Amino acid sequence: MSRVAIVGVGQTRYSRESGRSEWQLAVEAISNALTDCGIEPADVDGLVRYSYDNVDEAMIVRSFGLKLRYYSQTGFGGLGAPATLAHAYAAVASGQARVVVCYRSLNGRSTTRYGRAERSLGTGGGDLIATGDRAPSGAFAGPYGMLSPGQVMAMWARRYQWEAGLTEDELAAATGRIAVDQRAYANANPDAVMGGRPLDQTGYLAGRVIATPLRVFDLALETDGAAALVVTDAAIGPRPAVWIRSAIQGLIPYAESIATYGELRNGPTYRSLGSRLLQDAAVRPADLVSASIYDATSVSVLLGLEGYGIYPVNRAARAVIEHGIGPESPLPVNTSGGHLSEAYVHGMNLVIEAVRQVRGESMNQIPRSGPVLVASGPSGLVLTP
Amino acid sequence: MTSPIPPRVVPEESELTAPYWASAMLGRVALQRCLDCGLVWHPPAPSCPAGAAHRIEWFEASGRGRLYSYTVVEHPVHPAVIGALPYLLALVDLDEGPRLICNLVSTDPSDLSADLPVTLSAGPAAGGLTLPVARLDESAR
Repeated sequence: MSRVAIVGVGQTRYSRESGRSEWQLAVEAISNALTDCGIEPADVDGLVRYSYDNVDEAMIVRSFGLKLRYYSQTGFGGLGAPATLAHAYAAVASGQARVVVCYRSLNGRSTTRYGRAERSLGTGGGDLIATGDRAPSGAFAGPYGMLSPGQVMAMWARRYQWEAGLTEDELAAATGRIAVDQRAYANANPDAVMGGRPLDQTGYLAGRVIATPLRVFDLALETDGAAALVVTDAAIGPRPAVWIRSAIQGLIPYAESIATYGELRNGPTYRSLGSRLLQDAAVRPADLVSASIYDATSVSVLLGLEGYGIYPVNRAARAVIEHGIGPESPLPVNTSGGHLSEAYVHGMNLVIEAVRQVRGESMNQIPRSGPVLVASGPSGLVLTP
Repeated sequence: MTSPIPPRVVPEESELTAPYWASAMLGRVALQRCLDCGLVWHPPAPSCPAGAAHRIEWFEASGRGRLYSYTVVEHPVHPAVIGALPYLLALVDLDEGPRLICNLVSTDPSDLSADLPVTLSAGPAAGGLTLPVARLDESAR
C-alpha cells in the first residue's frame, strides 16, 4: 500500500469578523501548516482547493512563489473537505506530486454568509431570480422560500424522526445532546468561537426555532477563518505522521451537498460507500477511536453515525440520547466542538481535529490510539497513527 | 404610508425547463417521461437517466403525492420572505415517482405525519408567485 501522510496542519484565528481578506487568511493558514511540518514552500509541488474558494491556485502560487506540477479542485461545498485530502492522497500515491497543500479560506460571517440567501439569488426586473436546479435557492426551491441549507436539513431531520419512530421531543433530546456535547468540547478548546459559552439541554431547547424541528443551536456557526493541511509521502517534521489509510469521494444522483431529491444520508447507497471506506482501511466501526462528522446541522451527525455503520439504521438517535458523543461515549464525535461550536471552516477544521486526535494533540484528547474517521456525506477518510 | 412590496422570488427558466414552468404557472406539474423505459424524473434533464438514446416526452402529472417531509420556516434567511412567515416547506413524493419541493398550505402542522396523501394545485408560494402547492387530501383526514 502507498504510504501517504498528513504531516502539517495550520489555521488562522476563528472569528466573526477577521478584518482581513480571504487571500490573507489562506496565506496565514498555509504558512502555519508548512511551519508545523518544517517544509519549505519551495518543496510544495501540489495544491488542492474547494471549487467554492474565492482564493484560487494562482493567488497561492504567487504568494509563495510555488512551482506546481499538480493542482485540482473539489466540488459541492462541504463534501470537498475530506475530498481535498483524497485528491492529495491520489496525487502523492501516483507520484504526480510529492508535497500537496490542501486549504479552505472564507470570511463566512463577515462577507459570504452561507446561512443567508442574499448571495444565491440574482436580481432582474425588480424580482429575485432563483437559478439552477439545486436546493436551496435553485429554481425549483427558491420560489417556495426554500433558501438556506438549514431549511433543507430541517426536512432531513423531520424525515429521520419519522423513519426512526421518534417523537419530536425524542429527536430534540438527541440533537440537543449533540449540540450540548459539542459545546462542552468547545469549552475546552481555546480556538473555539463558542469557547466561553456553556450550553445545557435547557438552554438548547430555549434556542430560537429556525425551521422546525431545528433550533439555532442545531445549525453550524458562520465563521471567518482559514485552515490548511500538508500531505506527503513520508513522516516529515517534528510531529507524528498521520497516515491516510483510505479515502472516498462519492457522488450518486441527487447526492450533492444539500440534497432534497435522493435518499437520506443513512440510506443504502451511503451505507455502502461508508462500509467500503472502512473496509479499504481494514477497519471495523468498533475500531474507531473518534470521528469528525460534517455537522452543518446536528442531524447530519445522526445520519453520519448510521451512514458509516457506527449504529444501525434509525438507531443513532436513541444511542446518542443514552450515551452522547462526549469523551466517554462509544465514539466521541467532533471533539473540537465541530461546526456547531468551534468554527465553520467548511469541514477543514474537522479534518484538522481528526489529525490532532491521531497525533495525540487534541484539546479533548481521547486517550486511546487507533483509527479516526473523517466523514462528510459520501466523502470520507480513515486516518491512523 | 404603505410598505414597499417585497420582491418576488421567481425561477430562472431555460429551454430545458420552460415546459415545466409553463404548466407550473397554471398550478400544474409537468414531468418528463421516457417513451422507451417508462422512467419519470424531476428536475428536468436533457436525457433519460436510464438511457441517453431513449426518447422522452413531457406529460402532466396527476398532482397526487405523499408527504415525504416538511418544515415550518420561522426564521427568514432573506427579506423577500419575511411577510410569508411562518410558512410550511414540504417535500412531496409524487405518485409518478419524483419528489417535488413545494409549500404546504391550509394546514396545521400538528396534523402532519409521514406519507400523508396530498394534492397539488395552484396556490400561493412563499416567494410571491402562484405555483403548484400541496394541500392535505380531505378524504384522508
